[in-house]
Amino acid sequence: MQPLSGILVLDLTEWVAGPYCTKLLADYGARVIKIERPGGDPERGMGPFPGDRIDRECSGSFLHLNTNKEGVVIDASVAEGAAILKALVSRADIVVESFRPGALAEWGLAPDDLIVANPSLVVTSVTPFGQHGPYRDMVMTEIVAFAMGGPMNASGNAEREPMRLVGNVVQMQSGATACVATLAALMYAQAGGVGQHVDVATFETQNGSLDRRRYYLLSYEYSGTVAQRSTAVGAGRPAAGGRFEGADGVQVTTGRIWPDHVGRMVAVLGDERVARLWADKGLTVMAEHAQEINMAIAQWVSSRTARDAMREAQAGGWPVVVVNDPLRLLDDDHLRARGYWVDAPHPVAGTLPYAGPPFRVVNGGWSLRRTAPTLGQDTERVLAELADVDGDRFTALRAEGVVA
Amino acid sequence: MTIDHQPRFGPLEGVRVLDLTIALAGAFSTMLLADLGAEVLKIESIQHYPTPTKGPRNPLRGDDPVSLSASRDYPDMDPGEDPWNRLSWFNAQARNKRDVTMDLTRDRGREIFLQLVERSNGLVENNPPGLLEKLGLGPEVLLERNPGFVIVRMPPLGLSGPDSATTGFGWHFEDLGGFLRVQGYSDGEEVGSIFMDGASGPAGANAFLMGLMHSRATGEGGVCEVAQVENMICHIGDLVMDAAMNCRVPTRWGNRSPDFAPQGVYRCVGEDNWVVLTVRDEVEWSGLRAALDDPLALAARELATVEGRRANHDKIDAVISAWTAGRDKIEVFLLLQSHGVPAGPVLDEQDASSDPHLHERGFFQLLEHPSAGVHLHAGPNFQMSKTPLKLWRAAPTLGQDNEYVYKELLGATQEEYADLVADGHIGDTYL
Repeated sequence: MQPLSGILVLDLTEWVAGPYCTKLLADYGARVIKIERPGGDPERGMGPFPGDRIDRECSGSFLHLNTNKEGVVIDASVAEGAAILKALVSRADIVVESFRPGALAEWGLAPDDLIVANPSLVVTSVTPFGQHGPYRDMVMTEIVAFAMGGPMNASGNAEREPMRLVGNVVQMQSGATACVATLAALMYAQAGGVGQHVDVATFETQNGSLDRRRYYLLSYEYSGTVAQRSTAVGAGRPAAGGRFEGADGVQVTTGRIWPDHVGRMVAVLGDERVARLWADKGLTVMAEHAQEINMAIAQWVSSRTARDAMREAQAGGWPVVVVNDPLRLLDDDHLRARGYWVDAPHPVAGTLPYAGPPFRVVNGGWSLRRTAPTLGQDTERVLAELADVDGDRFTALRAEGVVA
Repeated sequence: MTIDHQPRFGPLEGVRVLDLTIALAGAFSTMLLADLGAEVLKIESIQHYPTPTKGPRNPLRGDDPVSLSASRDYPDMDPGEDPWNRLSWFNAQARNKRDVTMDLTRDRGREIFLQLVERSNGLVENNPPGLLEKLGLGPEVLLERNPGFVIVRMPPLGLSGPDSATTGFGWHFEDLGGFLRVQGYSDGEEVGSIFMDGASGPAGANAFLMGLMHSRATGEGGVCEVAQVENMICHIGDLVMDAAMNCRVPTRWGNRSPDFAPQGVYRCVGEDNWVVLTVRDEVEWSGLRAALDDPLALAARELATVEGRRANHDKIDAVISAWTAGRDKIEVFLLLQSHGVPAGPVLDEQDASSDPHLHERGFFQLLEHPSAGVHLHAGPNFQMSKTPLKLWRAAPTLGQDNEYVYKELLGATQEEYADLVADGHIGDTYL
């Protein structure tokens, strides 16, 4: 029994933000039917790909974003397709969609009408700028989301251009935020039978994110100042500290060494010269004797594995951690011990490790029941089961290109 | 002090959450719940000054060894007599929440807390691992008083595993989480991500809501765990796929994209003004060319494909930069969007605070704070048609809701209330 077992979700989302929302719903037990347009979600054309060769069944980003979903292809822009969608909607608890505002209405599937037909239905729209407002018809990519949602103005080197965050993290956070609103609306619908339309705009999820645009906005209100890019990570802080290589060639980082932690670092290092400097001069050693301290740290780290250095320092109350990259993450001792990575087979992409639970609900709640659908993998079965479309009718619709 | 009554609103009306969070991550989770109409009680002790949450105690005197916040985070750059009530990074997330004090290190304070547990649906905390247990308020104790209680805990590396006791700051966990080796300028200069707390907020709220659904369905509460680093890694699951499929560390792309070209950041007129854009396909490429009045330099046939544009990215960037250089970023943004090109200005806080779209959608609302004054606050991160959301009150000052909690929720008499004041549980200033 997972937290969302028994919930039926009709997933009309594409690209990143909407699919991340429905991925969360699916990973925690909802039955999610992903409806794709003929040709499929354009995210299927986005990398990474094995060997960097474009293969729409092997998109790493699509595989990550669409775990546990069933895949159905319907052309909603023709009347018969829209009618099938309507039939599916009538059985659903939740519809999540990411079309440009107004598109559903053009197909006769306006959210308000869907809710009239199915009063306890929750319809969540996850779009760049929301359902109303002067920018509502505009388009967005990840870099636009961070530029407008911020704080890209304060990200990077002050002497250089502003720098975006890596990958698609802003849009995924938008999807996770949409999931919060959707779950709350679902609970309300379950309690009183009243569904509703939830309007999620990535422009707002990012401007409203607490790390850190939301409080920067209030700081601006308070003092009229805006956040600035710094010249370097750790600028203005004592110079000692950084990354150091362990005996196994793996690095650890001390990050900026916080003043509270200097005494603990000195104790962990056990270096007499550093201890004497610390006793004589206190915190000023971090700037004035940075080189000697860095040499002592380097020597200490180099005589044990990175993981042991991390554990010994942590045991002494000094925050040091191993440095990972996406490849090393797959072998991270702690993540593996927690069973974070889950190997799962896909009919075309083969067996790959999938990121595990972003959080664990009482007794777990998360599972990888299946990998992402190939294009139209579940069309025939799902339409027969949930829309009473089968036999000759299905064959005819498929011949017409309404379903695939 | 008067008692404020929270209006009934939102899908979570009637849900009560105890907030034992510090700093930003957990507080963002409870903010999302408060914005959905839950009653969130921030639990404080006047005996314990929470520096990571409310900044230095005496920022002007400089007697805190570490200044976690700058003067720009206070109204008119003035920390005033009560800086803990005036700090942006608390006040930005605590609007819509209540604030109540009790000394959790003493039996009487613990009993008050447990009485609130009986009257609440759950709690959220992101303290150092083991703090609840140290206070004698571990999950078993709470569940004994309320079997359906939902306990969201947010230790960076989780509650189990060899390194679960690991502590550190954001920059440690970004490095541990694999971000810094792939984020930043394409020539190798790294850029810190400032991302984990932002990602943890929705994760904590999702964990709470799923825990609550589980509790309602089964009567069984329990612990929900947000290992913040694991959640953060889910947000780069696509990059990990690259590592897994191709056995390599993904390329550091800077502001460019592995999938699209061109994509970049271009300087506009004025100081530190920039616009970003992406061209995802041939239609958008035509749109970009049209917006630039079809310059000859972009007409070459080889630029019709993404491969051709990637091979000539520097040349294309030079053309775009020359065009944006003398133009206003908003003008460029509107023109490019009118040609169907995904583009946007890099908005700083001043730009965002006056953005016409955000204002027309009602994203900002004025709130009056007893100590900080009247200011524009960012509202909920989503909108709902049947249960409209609202900001009903600015962030509470320390202990602002003591009367409400002790008298209305717990039924304390005037005498009992006075005794709790004398006993150091109820107060409105840190000792």
